[in-house]
Amino acid sequence: MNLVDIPVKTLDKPTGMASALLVELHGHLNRLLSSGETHLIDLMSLPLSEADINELADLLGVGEVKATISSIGSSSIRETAYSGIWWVTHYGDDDKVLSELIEVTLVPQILVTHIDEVRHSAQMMANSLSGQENVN
Amino acid sequence: MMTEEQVEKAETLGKSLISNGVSRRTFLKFCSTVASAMALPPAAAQAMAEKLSQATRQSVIWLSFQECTGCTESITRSHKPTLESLIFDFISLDYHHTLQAASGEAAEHAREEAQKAHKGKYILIVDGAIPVKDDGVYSTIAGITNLQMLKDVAKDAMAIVSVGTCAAFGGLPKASPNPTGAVAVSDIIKDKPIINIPGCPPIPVVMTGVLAHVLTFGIPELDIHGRPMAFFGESIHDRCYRRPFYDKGQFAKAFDDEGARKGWCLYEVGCKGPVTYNACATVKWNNGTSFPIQSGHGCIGCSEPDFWDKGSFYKALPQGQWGSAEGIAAAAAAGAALGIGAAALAKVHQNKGEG
Repeated sequence: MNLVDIPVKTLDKPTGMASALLVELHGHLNRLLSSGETHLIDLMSLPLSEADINELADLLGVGEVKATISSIGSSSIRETAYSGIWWVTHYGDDDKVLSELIEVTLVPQILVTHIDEVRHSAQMMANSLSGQENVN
Repeated sequence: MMTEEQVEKAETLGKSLISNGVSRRTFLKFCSTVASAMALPPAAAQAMAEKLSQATRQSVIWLSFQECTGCTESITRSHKPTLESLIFDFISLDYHHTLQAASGEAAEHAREEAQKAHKGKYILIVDGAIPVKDDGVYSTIAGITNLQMLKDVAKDAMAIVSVGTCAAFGGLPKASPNPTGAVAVSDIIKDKPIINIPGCPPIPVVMTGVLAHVLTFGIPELDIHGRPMAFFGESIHDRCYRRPFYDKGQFAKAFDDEGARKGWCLYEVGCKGPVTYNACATVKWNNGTSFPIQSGHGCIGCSEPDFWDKGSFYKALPQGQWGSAEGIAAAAAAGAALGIGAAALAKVHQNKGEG
């Protein structure tokens, strides 16, 4: 017997939450324009059904940027058809969704390289260059 | 484990993780996951990542008393590294008699050394109830009663985390007739901050989230039972995906009737979701697969005090407190916003300590 054979049915119709979120996102886009204020919406903290999520994804559409991060599972960062609105999904190493965010910003925070890592890589490169000098 | 001198010179988590190949993006991803699970403002993830990177590894002493080891199983269950398991990179687990390699005198010596090196700074995690009848003779470790060991270790702790319903509320050892006189940690220790993370067992990410919060923002906001509001602020019923059926008055009357097959509300077959505060309905179990109600069984209320002695798991909650199913159906049909009202009623019960 498969899961689909069990005759339990659940509601799977959009509830209208996606349209409400769109209104909220419009406000945040205007604030990004007027004052540079960024915003994050945690989709997992909202009572959204799968149908709501799908409707929101349809309403926001697909933009031209897509990035993937690999760190203990992957992360998918996609700009929506509305520039400045990003859809960020973090997965665990078992492909389970750990968190799902809508970020209203010019560049999502997770894409920006942290200054500590720049410092670390500069040190690593210095070590590498001094190693080459020693060889030569 | 570090000596006092090494504690002073300990490097920050940020530096140590970069050296070990854990990127800042992984760090931020961990914090995003924790912030999401704890319903913190999403922007808190960035602040949490910055604070964690500046922190040093936190010493933790874990004491297991009258328990089944299910709580330890819950947090360590993963067979492969997961994002949640990163918490073990943020803490120094200096004593845990089930997990540590040392045994006997060496193990107890490790505990004493950790207490001395991190005096006033370590977090004490307790799972299991503490028997106090007959001076606590019913459970001992290395010849020391649980009661005495708790008092000895708690006195120099920064804070105590009671993991599982047994440590938080007495749990199954305390169930009637409670032959060993089992009590909760908070019944014995009165002069330290105590965070209760009940559940039988607790959800792994709840334990991870609370520890990450303590390391960064300090003790989280607690409810009247000492539980973090972030995970225990809403009832199972508040966040249950079957809630629309409750609001419409559509109930399963038996586990094999048409209502059960259609996935209707399990209130009438004994679900304790309306009076149980936990995150099962949102965080779920088994890597987010499902939770008991999703599997067709009512919530048994395992994160509430004395859940074992509150009557049958299969008996509907008392009428008067929640109203009969027929009454709910009639009110729903009349267009009353009963769902919201019921949730508000539960909040009142929680605030009054009746939840």
